[in-house]
Amino acid sequence: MTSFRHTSWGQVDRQKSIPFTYHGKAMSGYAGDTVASALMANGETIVGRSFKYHRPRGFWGASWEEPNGFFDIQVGQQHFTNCQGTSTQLLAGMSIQSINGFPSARYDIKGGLDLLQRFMPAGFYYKTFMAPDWHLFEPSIRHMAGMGRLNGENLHADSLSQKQFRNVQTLVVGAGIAGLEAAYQAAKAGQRVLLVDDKANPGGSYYGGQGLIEEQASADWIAQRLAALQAMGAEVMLSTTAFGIYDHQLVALAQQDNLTSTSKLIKLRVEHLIIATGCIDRPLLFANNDLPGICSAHAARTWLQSYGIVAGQRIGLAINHRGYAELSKQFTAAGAEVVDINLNNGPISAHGWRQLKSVKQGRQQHQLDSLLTSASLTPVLSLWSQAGGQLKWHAQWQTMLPADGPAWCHVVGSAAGHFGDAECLHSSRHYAQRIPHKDTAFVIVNQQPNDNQGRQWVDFQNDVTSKDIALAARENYTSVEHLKRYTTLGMAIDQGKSSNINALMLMAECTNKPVAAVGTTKFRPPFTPQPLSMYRGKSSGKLLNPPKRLPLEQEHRHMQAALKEYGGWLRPAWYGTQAWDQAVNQEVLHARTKVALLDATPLGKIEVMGPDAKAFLNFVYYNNMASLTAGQIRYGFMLTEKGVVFDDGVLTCINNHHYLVSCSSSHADGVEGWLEAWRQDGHNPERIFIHNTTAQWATLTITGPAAKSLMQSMDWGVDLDNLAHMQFTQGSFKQHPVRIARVSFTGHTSYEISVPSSQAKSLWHTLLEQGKPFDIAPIGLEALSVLRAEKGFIIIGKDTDGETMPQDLGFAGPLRNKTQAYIGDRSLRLEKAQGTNRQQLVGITVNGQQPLATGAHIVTGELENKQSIGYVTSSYFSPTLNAPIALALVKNGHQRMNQKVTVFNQGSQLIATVTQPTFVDLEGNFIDA
Amino acid sequence: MQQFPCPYCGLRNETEFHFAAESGKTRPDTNTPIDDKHWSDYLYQNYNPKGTSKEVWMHLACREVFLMTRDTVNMDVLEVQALRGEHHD
Amino acid sequence: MYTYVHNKQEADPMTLPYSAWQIAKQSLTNHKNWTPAWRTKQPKKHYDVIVIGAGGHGLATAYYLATQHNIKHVAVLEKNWLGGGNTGRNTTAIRSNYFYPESVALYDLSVRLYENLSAELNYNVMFSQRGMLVMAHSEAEMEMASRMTNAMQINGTDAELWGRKKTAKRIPVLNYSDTARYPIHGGVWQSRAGTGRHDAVAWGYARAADKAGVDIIQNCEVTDFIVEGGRCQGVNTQLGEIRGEQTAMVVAGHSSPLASLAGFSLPLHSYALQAFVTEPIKPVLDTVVFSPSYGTYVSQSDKGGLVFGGALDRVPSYGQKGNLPMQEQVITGLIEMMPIAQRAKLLRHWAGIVDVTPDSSPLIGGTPLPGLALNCGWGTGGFKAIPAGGFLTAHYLAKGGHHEISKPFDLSRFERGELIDEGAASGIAH
Repeated sequence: MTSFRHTSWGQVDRQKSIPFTYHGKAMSGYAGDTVASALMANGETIVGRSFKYHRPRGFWGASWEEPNGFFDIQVGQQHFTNCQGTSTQLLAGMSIQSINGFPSARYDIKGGLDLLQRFMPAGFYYKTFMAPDWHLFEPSIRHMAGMGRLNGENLHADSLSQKQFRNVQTLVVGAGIAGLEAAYQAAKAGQRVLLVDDKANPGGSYYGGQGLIEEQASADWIAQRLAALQAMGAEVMLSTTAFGIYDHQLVALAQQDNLTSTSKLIKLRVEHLIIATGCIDRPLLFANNDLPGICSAHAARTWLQSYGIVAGQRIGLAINHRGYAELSKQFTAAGAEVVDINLNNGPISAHGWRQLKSVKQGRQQHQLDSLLTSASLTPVLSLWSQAGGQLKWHAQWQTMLPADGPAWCHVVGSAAGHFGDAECLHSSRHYAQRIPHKDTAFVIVNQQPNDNQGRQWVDFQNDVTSKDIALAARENYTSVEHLKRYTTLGMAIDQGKSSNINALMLMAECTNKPVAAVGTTKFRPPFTPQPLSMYRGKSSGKLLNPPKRLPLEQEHRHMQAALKEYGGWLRPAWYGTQAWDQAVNQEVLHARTKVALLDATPLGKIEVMGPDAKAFLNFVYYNNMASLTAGQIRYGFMLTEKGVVFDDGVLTCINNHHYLVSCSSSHADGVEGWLEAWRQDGHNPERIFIHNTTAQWATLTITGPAAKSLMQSMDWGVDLDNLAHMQFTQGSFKQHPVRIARVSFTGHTSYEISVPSSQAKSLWHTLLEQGKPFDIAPIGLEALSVLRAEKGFIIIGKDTDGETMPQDLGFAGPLRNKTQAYIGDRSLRLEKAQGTNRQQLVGITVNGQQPLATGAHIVTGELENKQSIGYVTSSYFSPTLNAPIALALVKNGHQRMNQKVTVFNQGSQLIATVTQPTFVDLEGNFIDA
Repeated sequence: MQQFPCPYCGLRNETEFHFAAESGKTRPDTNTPIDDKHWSDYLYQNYNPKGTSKEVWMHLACREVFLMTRDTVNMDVLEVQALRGEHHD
Repeated sequence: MYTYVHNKQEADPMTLPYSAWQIAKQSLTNHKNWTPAWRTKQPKKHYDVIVIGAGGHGLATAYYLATQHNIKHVAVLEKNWLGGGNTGRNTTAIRSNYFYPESVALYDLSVRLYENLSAELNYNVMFSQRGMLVMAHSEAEMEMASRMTNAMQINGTDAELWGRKKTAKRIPVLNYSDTARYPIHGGVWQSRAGTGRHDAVAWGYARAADKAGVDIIQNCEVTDFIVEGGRCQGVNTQLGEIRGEQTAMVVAGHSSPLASLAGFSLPLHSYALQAFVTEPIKPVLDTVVFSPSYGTYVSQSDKGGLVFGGALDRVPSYGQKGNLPMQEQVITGLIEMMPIAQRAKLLRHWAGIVDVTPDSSPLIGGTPLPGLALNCGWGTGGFKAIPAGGFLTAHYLAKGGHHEISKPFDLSRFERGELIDEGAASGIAH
């Protein structure tokens, strides 16, 4: 192809030169160019190599239907791969490389692969590479495959995309004349209208054209419609692709001005969708129809009108329908020599090496450098199909047209098969109605396969020929989906936009079936490939699933806390700058000998109120909560209906109608939902009220031998002398309410002090100040984990798994004694629940100083016959005992006390002893120390 | 992104909702003898219909539980109903 | 652990064997003489076994019935086109990284059958044992990973616990930044895990089953069961009545509607599970990576596309199409886990309907209707289990009872409360 730039035609701005490089060579285009038009203006003909055979290929399409020309593009620090030349706007400073060819598409050393095509028919890899082993072949096949190259450098330079929710009454997709007219009609009817088009300019195939619309210059007609739309308040968004239709009438739009600009994902809810997406050419099938220089007629016209690119010096027209009546005139006027080829005179074949040189038809031979082809027009119906619309084969026009579909969608213009201007506009004016098609003799001849002159290409990028389709048919891959998957037809970057219909027709011919019986493949979103970064929006790093933050975070940071994430909260793990294990040991010893301060704010605090609250909670908890009286606290489990422990915590009775459920910090939302579900579905919701106050109250815990003295040294507006373990009271702290609960997760005397979150800082500083005489120090979550493990207190989800029932944890009382129904009760009475071979919570001790690995398994048997009977759930070095301790779930563990067991970890084994799951203060003296 | 009509809050995005269960399951009275089969049916069996399905949902934003009848193929919402007898407008 | 009959491939003039030599030979005649991969058959009146559903599991069931148990009068009935359900819609991971011995026995049987499948079927299913890493992003997750690795080793499958250094060396493309939302600590590596070519598994079983005498009948929807004397005696279909001594329903996400035709319900919910593929790019990732925290798994196909997916959609569904919220979540996770992906483009996404049991483990064995067996409930992971699922279902049908390996997966486990809940055990959704 010797394409050239016309001196005046096209909509590019010849005053603005855009410099770029192609394989390092400096070139320039004009403002308004695409990468494709700029390369054509610079005389590049071979711009891509096909996937499998590395055949040389030139540009074929006008825009997103282009199957051949894809590029890697560097702009500044940003790198983009697989950029479609025809739909990528040229930007200054672009460094462009062709892909799938080395060193370039023009001189590709793998071009010779085409000589082996005989041995590589469709699906050949299913029949070979099996012996001796696929793994020997796979690496080199992977190396050969792939198109562009992802560049991971300077990822930070990419802008983060935006996301937006919107709604309109009527969305019109496509701002060609059909879309403009339909949008105009909808707006006139009082609809709130949005008109979108993926191009940067409106007008569709009339953009830049010289023709008339309704006897008016097309540019004027388009401008008038746009002005009228604006006057009526309709919105027009260009460079915006409607790429997907999702449930409940959601249309996904991708808006991006150019390659480097910020992209936007718009989730648009619509009442009506008008599809005015036009049509593209179906490639004409003939021998060697993939030679560079052969392109879609629609594309060549677009190149001429938009960019002033004339496809060649001697242009042949091989057009199988009456859709491009003016084309010959247009190209003659542009200065090309035009040869009209009448397809009635028999099949044609193309000839030339690496580019088109001539076209033969029978004995006639035309010397041509460009051939504009169209077998028929293919309406663009991806959105229609995605919305649930059906397609119907029109045998005479050899095309798929919209049939039945959802009432909220309408197809107008040439997308609906209204190919002439008058029909097109008529359909838009009556978009809500189904306008019958004019019964014209549109297509001229049926395709006449003629493969003895060369291969006929159906899918250009993936190298699928008519022979491959015949082979698929021969091997009974006749269903459309089998055909597609077996030959890889339509699976390339262009998603078969140009290849689909030809494939269906060929398969129909091979199997002697009507095309309608072959079926159609499903159109799947996205309509055009969309950058993954667009779906992410700004959810990156800390903005992705952000953890919850404590009101005291600054205070913790001030005290050099190591902050880590626990159950969705960012919490202090330990304090200070020394090694973590030293810090943790020190904090544990501090809590055991003096008094420690812990930020327990994330603890779930759910209030349950009302006359039925007591009965409700007694049903929700495994433990008997009916006997709880005002001021009392009781530890308990919540079970699922499967009888599995789902949460543990304490329940506080404030009064007979008012309870406080305290649950694991990571479970607060889950427990609240759980309680709500049971409240509303199974109880009288008018007599129970549930309120999650987790975020309203900040909780600080002081624990240790001096905790009581510290508390007594302060004024809480209430007498704490007689507040015993597992009791609750309310007082005041600096004129604010305070809730004080004596519960302990360390084993030592502990007070959980809750104040309104606004008072958290005040309480924190007051406790540190007042605690000075007692040598108070803050401790983090890691020390707490050790403290609670020393006492054998469990953490749900760590020391329990999806099978753990309360009796496995040593709490069999309610199972035996509780008479009222409770959640999970029946499951606890299953044979499996009653069995002796359950995994039960035990302690594990080992000699030496080295703790067991958490996750190590307790095993029986030797070597091959080894079997796991449980695993270590928590394991620490206990500074209190100066020895390692561990908790484990072990089958029948309660019967194995003091037995030696084998512990297996990552291939090595050692001997340990099963103990009670309590290691310090076996008598429970610490609690009132 | 589907939209469901919470009987209390109106039309909201699907991400605000939690599918709880198929409707029509009543918890057996566990104070009376229930055989294993009956209990496991209550726990695990579903009609899982292809087409119209009546289900229990929770709107996580307001925590209200309600009944929704949907088409599980085309995702049409056919009816929603507050779980409580009286409707709160 | 299992007995396996090594049948010799019988010469069948109707079926050309596949090999490089054969391709060379056929190229001389322009590939005009290749024979159908499977034949188009009309249903007979009666079969020994009717398998409903020509997905991977159904076709494998028929293949093993014919080759392992010499039951040749077998029909596989397919509503649409064979391999068109979840077999052709999944992300092709094959692995046996499970916690419970019951699960490891099942999935490891599958991996072992996969290892020899191309040779056995004479069809390249491209099982690529490129290894799989399940990532751990905190000390707590490393402890879970350790628990998992130990369990796998004890249960006799391969597993390694990888730290951050080893992971970074082997899979450098991941996000090792300290500012990553979930920093990488390491994970559970299974080197025998990998990917396969999903269509080829269905086609390979179909071709081998056809060769062994099985009738594969496409576009034949089952409309009802024939129940006489309290026993399933076959099915009514679009193509008329077909009787069978035994019937097996192997229809994944569509099990519940079929079960209701047969008069019972199942412990299943059907959900859409989405899958995604990017445009083909040159190799950047040569293993399978899964991060429970990010809710994303990814591999790169031989063609070059990044193939990835995540969790189930949140709304129970039979609509075989994707939905935006889960897409946004999965892609966001993918980019955070593997930042280079932000420069790739999404080419296509789709969804399959998966049938999820309360414990996310499959159902194999009998149903409340005598004469009707089932194989379903594979949830998000049916593809990897195709050979084992077929092998064990065939055993159940042929022997009238369970193989040792499938016994724990019988429907009756729910009544006994003997669930095999991998997700609850390992903290990893399977």
